[in-house]
Amino acid sequence: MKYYVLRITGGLLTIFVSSLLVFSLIRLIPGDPAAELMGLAFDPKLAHLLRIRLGLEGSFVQQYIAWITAVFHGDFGYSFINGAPVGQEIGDRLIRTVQLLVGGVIVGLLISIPAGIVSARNKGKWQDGGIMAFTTLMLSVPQFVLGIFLIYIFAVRMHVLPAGGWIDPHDNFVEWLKSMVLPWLCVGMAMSAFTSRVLRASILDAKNMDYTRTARSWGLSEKEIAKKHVYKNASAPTLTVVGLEIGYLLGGAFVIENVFAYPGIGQLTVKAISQRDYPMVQTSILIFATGFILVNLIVDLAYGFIDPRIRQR
Amino acid sequence: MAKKEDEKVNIGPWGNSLSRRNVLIGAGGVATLAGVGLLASCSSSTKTADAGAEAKVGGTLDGIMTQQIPSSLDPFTNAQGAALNAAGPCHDWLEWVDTKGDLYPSLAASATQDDAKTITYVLNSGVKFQNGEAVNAQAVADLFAWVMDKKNAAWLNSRFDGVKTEVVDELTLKVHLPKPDVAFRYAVTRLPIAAVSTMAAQALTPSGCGPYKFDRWVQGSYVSYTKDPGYRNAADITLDGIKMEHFADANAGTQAFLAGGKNWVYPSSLSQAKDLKARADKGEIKYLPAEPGVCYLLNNCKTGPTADPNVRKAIRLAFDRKAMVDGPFNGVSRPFFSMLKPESSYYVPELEYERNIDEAKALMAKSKTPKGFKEKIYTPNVDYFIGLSTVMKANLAEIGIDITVEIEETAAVINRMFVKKDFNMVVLGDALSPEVSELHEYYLRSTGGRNCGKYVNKAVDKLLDEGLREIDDAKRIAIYKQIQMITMLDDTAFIPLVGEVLPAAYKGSNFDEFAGGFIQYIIWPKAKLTA
Repeated sequence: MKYYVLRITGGLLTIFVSSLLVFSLIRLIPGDPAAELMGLAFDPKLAHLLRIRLGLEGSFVQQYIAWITAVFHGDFGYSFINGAPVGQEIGDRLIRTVQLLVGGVIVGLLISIPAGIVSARNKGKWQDGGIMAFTTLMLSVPQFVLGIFLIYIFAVRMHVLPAGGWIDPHDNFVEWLKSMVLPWLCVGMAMSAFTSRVLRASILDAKNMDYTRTARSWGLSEKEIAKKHVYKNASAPTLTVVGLEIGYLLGGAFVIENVFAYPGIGQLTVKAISQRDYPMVQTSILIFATGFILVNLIVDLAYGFIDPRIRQR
Repeated sequence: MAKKEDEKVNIGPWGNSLSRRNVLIGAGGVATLAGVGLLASCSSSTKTADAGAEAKVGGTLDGIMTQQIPSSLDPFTNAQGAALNAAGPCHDWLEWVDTKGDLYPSLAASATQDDAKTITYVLNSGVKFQNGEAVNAQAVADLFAWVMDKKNAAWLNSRFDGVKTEVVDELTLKVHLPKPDVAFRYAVTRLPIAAVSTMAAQALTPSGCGPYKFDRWVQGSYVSYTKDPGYRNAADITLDGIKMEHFADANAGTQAFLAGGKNWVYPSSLSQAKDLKARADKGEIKYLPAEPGVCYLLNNCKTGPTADPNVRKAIRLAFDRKAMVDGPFNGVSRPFFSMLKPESSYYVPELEYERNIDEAKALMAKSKTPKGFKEKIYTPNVDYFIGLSTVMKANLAEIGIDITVEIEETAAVINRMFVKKDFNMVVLGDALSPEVSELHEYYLRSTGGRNCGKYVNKAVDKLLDEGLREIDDAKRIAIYKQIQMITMLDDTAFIPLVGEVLPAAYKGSNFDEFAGGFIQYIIWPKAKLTA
């Protein structure tokens, strides 16, 4: 129990520090929301009035306390740019990003688990070489290049899938599904590269462990050994990597969202940063941080569940 | 009686001729008149696909807008072009201005410049806003008052300083200006006419009196409109709706356009310009190298080494504009020597010069920094600006100026220019205007809103005053020639580099008149799919 309490407390503390950091950092980077709103039509007098209206005239501490208090009450404020409630906009975007990532992770696992197993079982053979070459390629190619390449092949050349854009699944579920294939593939292929390599290495490690040799000496079949000992033990480090990958994918969703014109939270955050839309930036980064911490907390807890020794440390 | 909208408006005491010269009497409009040069710059390739194709009745015009994803649909408080681009279909204006500077009646059946300080607008009768309120003189006066009220932070506020309105009757509005300003009507062409009661909601649910009604906005994805049966010329509208999808990445947006199903992409990817031109030559698509703006280098004229006019002159002579066109703009732009397009009647050919390194070196030798100096060029993180700064760095190294290209977010560059006023050299772009005085007022008047280079020349201020008062075309051309010769050559207060080209590509639609940016509003009532 102490293990779980420590992990959860650590997670909450990290979220608090993240909120303070993001609140400070967005104000430290050069730029002025009023200047951004007015662009080249900047007028110092109007800018001053705008700053008052946007609540930017108080001290840093006053502004932070006002914001964090409101957040605790479920009020994330309103966008500086369009006045929309931040919570609602981020909620909509978050659902879409989760749809993107969950689908992408499933595709990634569907690729990486068989690839890792096949590669480990055929170490040194052509299957292993082929899979390793594929993963090296996926690790080397930036996601936006992969995205453009997929669009070119499947949309521009073959005309079988849409090139991008988002369709409301409530309007047309089939079209939505079609529009999600390329983004999911892009997320999944990129994710599968590292995961399959870790799985392969973990399986090979587990195969050489004492407990595997012992099992073999007991006369268990290779199939049983793999099922009961090798895969189970190899899953722990792989699970950690998947957790971290999901966290990084959340942070890097912007790239995929940009290439496929997908209205997710990554795109929103980058746009909000460039426009100095403080309430939007603060809340979305807080969500990113919380998401990242939560995923890793779940992984830590699952890790403790898989390996009881972790809980006892 | 309401005039047809394809007639140019009679502007009153400056003649009954409807030519641009007689109409173009003022300065103004505001800077993001993006795309004003497109009509004139349409390439020959635009005559290929769809030429003469018949209009199809019904259907949705589905296009892709790249790069600028709107965060607001409110063109009243948000000066960014993205807001107006995305909200354009639901709006209408008192008058329209085309790329040549001609004014056309729209909501105003007529507009008369009674004198340099008074304008009379007579509105079309029976027009209603999309919320059902009447579009009358009082509604327009209320909108002007809303813009003038500083607490609303309308970005056109400073342009309306001291303006007074007089409601003469239901449809007649007189506008009294605080000082002679023949450019004011151009500023009004930037103001969509909307009911004041709708202003609070414009950012998320725009509403005006244009041909299309706002339907849905999925932020970061698309905005859609449906035909408004209550539009004053509803019978002329053939489309059922308009949909604009937003792609932040121009390459991806262009690929999506090429994949099919989309009628246009704007701006298309500069890196794919050659491929698009080749497709246009084959008749697969149309390609419009829109030139909505000018890229420029702004120097600090008050402090630092660039305060010396010899240094500024040396800098402009050192630039290789051909390399700027061929590199960052992939050959689709052209050199600029003025704040005006060469097609403008106010353009001064004497402003053009060849690159001259020897003369530039001689000017440096005469300057206060004969051995050269180190300086930073602040550069927005936009591909073509980075490309321009890289060319400038190489060019200036030849005359002993050691440049560091300092790349910053556009927001940070704007903050540096306008708020901190902390720079000696900055590269940026601004929208070209069909009206001569607009950019000259902003950048070259000592109190100009964009005079971040702190250029002060009382003789130029006086000439600018004269330009705003002068109603005779020939005299006005002479005034602005003097201004340009002083500011672009003698003082080198502003260094134009190349045209800021944002090419459009389209198919299956009648976008020959598409001008990009702000001025594209002209196209929405005329937009059609071709059979």
